[in-house]
Amino acid sequence: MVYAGKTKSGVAHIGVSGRLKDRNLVMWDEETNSLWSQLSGEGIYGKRKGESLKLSPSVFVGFATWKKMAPKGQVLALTDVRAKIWHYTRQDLARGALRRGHALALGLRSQGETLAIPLAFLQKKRIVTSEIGGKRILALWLKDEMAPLVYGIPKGAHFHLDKGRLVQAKGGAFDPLTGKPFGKTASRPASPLRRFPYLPVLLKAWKTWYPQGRVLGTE
Amino acid sequence: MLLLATALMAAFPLPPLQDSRPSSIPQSKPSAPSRKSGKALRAQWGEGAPGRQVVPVKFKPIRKVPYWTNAEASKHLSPDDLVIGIIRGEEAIAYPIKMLGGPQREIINQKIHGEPYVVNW
Repeated sequence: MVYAGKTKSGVAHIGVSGRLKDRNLVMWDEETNSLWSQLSGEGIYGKRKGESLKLSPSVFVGFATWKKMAPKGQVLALTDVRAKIWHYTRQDLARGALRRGHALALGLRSQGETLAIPLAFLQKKRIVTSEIGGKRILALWLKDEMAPLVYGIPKGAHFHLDKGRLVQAKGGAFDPLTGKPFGKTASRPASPLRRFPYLPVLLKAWKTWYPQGRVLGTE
Repeated sequence: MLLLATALMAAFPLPPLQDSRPSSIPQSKPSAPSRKSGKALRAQWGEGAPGRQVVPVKFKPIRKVPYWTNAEASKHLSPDDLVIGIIRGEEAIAYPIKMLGGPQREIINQKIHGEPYVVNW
């Protein structure tokens, strides 16, 4: 997951604390030695207790898909990869589950609300719209890319997938990979869709963390 | 404590960074495969600190890491390898999940498009 690296009190450089809480990583910041929950992004101990790191939009896709999304992009260059346990592939996403059959979901948070979208559900529907924290979202499963993506969309907007294009009911179409519009509408210049932050999560764990949270497909 | 820390580092023997880059996105690329791990520091929190210390040290935030172009990374990654990708304006960086394994490097701090981000797995 990706957090903005600053809070209301300033920049936070974050490291691994060596601690676990509820089987989840606890982080620390170099500026104040405060502790942070990796899962929630909340300061849980020290001077910054009560502050929050804000989730930032990112994508969770295979490398081949990444190159299509960002042809001039760069890639972290660390090669001493040792543990096979970390070798996740987009086929894991396509299966909708990780090892031992643990179901995967997209976890969303906004304004104190949570929403889980099980990958199996998303793959079946291909395109799902919902609301969280007063914001409307659209989740996509791109079968050929084996990739889930989430965008924020205007209220009242309706979309469908057609021949690899994300088509808006009232006109206009977008590239589902990048959110960029194909052409412009006559009435106004089309702007790209905004990515909405999501986390790839184990559904079982997410339900434990957020027992009151909504889970699409079970409502 | 020191003994445990030594044992830990022996169990996860990551060599120091060989080719570090500035914290902004580098324009040049490492010519050879690079390694990176957070420096282990003494972990000190009060008794009221939440959770439990499962590793006897904390790891210094990682701020400087090397990057490849997509083309260079293609020599090291499978098309199917999962990445966390950040795209801001014309700048875009991908973090392969398999490179974020282990307690020394689960978190990377990086400025993109002038804004600080914390990538973690």
